[in-house]
Amino acid sequence: MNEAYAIPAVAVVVLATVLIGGFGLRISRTTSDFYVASRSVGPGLNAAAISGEYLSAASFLGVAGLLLVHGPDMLWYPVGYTAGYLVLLVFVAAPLRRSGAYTLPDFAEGRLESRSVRRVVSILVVGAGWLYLVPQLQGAGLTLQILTGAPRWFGGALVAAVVVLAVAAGGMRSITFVQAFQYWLKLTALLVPAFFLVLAWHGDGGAPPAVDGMPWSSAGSGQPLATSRADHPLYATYGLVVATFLGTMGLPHVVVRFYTSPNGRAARRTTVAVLALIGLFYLLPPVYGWLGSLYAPELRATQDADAAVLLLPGRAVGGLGGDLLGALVAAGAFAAFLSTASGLTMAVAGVLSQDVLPARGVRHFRLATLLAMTVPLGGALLVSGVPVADAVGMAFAVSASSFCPLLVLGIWWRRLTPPGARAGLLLGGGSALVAVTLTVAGVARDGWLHTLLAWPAVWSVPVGFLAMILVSLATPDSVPPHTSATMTRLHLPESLSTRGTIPTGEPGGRP
Amino acid sequence: MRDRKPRDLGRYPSHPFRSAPAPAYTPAVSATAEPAPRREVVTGEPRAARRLPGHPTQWEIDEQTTLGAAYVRSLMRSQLRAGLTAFAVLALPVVTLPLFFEALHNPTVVWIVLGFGCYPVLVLIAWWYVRTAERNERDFARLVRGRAVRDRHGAR
Amino acid sequence: MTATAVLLALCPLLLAGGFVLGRRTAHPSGRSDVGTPVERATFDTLHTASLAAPPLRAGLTEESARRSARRLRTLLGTDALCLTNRSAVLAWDGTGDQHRKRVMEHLDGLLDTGRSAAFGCGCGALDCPLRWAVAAPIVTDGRVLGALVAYAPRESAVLARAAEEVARWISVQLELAELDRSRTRLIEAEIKALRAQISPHFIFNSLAAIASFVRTDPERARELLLEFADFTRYSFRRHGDFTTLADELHSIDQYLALVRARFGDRLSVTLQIAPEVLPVALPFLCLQPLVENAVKHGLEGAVTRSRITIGARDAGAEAEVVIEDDGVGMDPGELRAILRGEGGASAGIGLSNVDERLRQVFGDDYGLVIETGTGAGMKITVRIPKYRAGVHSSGGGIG
Repeated sequence: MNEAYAIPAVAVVVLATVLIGGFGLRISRTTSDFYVASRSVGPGLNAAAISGEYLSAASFLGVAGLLLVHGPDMLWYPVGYTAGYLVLLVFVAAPLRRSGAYTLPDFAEGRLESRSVRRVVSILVVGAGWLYLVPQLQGAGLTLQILTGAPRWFGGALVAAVVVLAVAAGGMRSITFVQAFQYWLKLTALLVPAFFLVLAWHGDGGAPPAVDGMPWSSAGSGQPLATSRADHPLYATYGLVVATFLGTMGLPHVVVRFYTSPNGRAARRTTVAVLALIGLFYLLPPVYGWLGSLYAPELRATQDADAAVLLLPGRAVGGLGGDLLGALVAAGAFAAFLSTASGLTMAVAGVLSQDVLPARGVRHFRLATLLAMTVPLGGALLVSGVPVADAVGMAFAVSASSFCPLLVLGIWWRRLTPPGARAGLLLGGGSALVAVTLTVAGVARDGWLHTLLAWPAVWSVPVGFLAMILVSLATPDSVPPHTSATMTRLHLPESLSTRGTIPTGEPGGRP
Repeated sequence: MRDRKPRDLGRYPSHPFRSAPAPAYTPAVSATAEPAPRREVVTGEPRAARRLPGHPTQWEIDEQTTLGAAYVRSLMRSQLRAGLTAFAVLALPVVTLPLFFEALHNPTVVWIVLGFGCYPVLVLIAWWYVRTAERNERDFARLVRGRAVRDRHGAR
Repeated sequence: MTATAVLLALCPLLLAGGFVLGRRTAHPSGRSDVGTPVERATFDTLHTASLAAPPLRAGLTEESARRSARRLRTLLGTDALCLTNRSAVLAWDGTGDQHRKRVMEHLDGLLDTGRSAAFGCGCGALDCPLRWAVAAPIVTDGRVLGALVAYAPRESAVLARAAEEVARWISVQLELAELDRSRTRLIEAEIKALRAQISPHFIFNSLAAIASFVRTDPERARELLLEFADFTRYSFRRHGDFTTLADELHSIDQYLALVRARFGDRLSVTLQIAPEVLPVALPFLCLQPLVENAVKHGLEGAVTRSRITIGARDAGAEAEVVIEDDGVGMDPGELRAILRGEGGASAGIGLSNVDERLRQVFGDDYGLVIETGTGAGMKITVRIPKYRAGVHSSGGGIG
């Protein structure tokens, strides 16, 4: 890998992120511009922003790495990451937007009219956010190590510093354009090299496709999680499917982006666009995984399978072209770290400053940003060895066992009560959080116990749902007094609910 | 906004916002820099405990709509039905596919189905759902708007 | 495999759970029952009463009495019915119009004491069925407003009782009418308060500016008039306490278009908007007065040009709106007094009103932060939380 190209590429990405974040406001100086400047974000732009924020290091590097090590079963990861948006669409998207909530704690408070449920949700949001941030920082460390030979901790610290400075200094004055830019950057950074890689493979001719014959059984893998996956692969697959399908809707940085949609209908259309954009992106990592098995098979035996995407251009294409393509991939990878990390940091910091730190204000938001980043940075430095995509899968499991029951039952079931929600959140989300913490801490390294703890969603999601339903049924007197009005607001189309506001001449011209 | 046609720039020569490009913006204060009069930060005084508790006016407005709540329940049912249908169409293959792959032992099929084949299907289901949900909302809006008229005749 | 079995068992369970949820929200269809004769009579009575009520909600006038008297007579089943106020007959319904002139003679005692009275009223005419009448007072707030007089061929305790009940019912309707009126007065007061926020000078000046274009540039005058209509409609709307930042900015846009019609080249406005904060809900009309303030300050001092910047940016869980002008500024001490509600200057009323409402809705952390000095321009910062329980921009609902 030639750092002469990669380092400038990474620097350009960082610079562009900060510049777009700081100056990407819509500016107008004349009357006619004014209207354009204050027009709300359309589904296309917002979908690109959501996708940009969502496609993290786990997608950019991790999926290909897992495919390389464990074979095509790992394709369930990208499928789950995508299908999660379908579940979000059909159960959550429009009502969540109509609730007016910015964060999940907002939703919990608005729906259940309970400050204590809000606090429980806040704690879980912070927990899930931190779990998700750790692998981003680890991925950054790995990437920078491969690019420059810098020590592992440096990349994570760099991303953390850039994000904290940009967010805390008020640099992210408009994050939508940043994230939309990052999506297209990431897509380009995988698409263009993939094109040349396939050309190179075609040109090589010697490296046979031989998909059938590849030893996917992961016999030579040295990773503890990998061997355990081999113990009960089918259970692991289901655990993964449940976690990703149901977990997406509760991810803190996904929820906040829906606030940008002007109404529920736009939120729905945005989600479909997200589904298409993410699906388009996920066509690419499998190509890298597959080519990685041809050109970098030795990575399978190391801890660094995640590096396959970064190394492939050099291996397959080589020369100046390989270096340039490698620089492009590196830029995309950094975009992945920055976008997801900044989105998560802002979401977590927002919750911290609102619900955890004592007073409110701009200064407290800065403090919260620092706190939101320091803890996962510590985690990333202390804990290593969990593959990026697996670690992200754990955040999904926590989200699926706590936020999914809260959102689905909150939106569709009138008899949900605050005690029921608390019970479900604590039993479902709490047990999942404990399970993944124990896994990361390495309490059980193999056997069924390990499998159950590492992929908790299969049991923790039903636990969350059942606890929420049963306790709610047992406490019918605690149904929030305004449930009926809240339900009306969640489900009523805007065309009916905004009768009272001023009519404007052009239909749909105003948000 | 109303049909605001692009205005003829030449028609308002005295109007700088249309006849001349606006000058580059410089921060309002530093522009008048010479003696630079000092600014002081002023805030109002705390009006302790004035915050309206819980849920003010808006709730009461919504609360009056008990009849509306019955209508909303019917809308919810139709939307939930659409959602569950889409979810079932997604869930059934997803539950069976891993078992199928396990039995098949053919990685190529897995690569093709999961790597490429499933994404168009997901988008199709999503597209179907959005159409159904929007149609439900349109039908509902028509139902609600027609209600007032029907009541007047239906009363006798 | 046990895991597989467990999984296969769980998935249908989840689905079944969903269906049960859907089923539970369904209702059993109501029983259909045509009702007994008594019930039908009750329904008829209620229906007639409901038809008589709306006119009375306008208060006790000749018009409302005339329109409700027919329904009330049906309700009582009498030959003639009369409604009076304290001095004259308001309406007569039924036969025997000649009795109308003499009604008030019988009511003196009733109007004084508020007690019902019965009197014989033979008029001598052979074909006149009216021999006896009962008069019941119409009372609201302890004052006798008038009387209901029901005529019958003979004495009837049942009619006496029914007339009293109907009179009481009318009284309730009139009390409700009074309530309606006071509510209307309240709304008018609210509108007046809102009008106070939009300076009357602004309205006059805008109309004058528009008028100046009517000859020279009718098309522009038409556009401005539409802006003016939109702006005032938004400003005077009553429905809902909250609006979105997007709507509020839209109204500011219209306001500025009107200001520019007068001060075209003296005012330059720059807008910097982060689109993600546009859906933020905020108290209705809480930025427009700040912009108006900035415009006023800018135009007061500047001989050449005045610059105003309006910025809205994303700050995590909050939106931050900054309105800055390079105008005459304000003495900080004076501004403090205005924010305390002590200032007399009309310029500051908007500021203190906005400050108060923001604190009321979002809490004391969210008051205005103003940086200013005499001759130093003014920068007003408003922070708005993206979510606050009970603060929703879309009003109404159905029903």
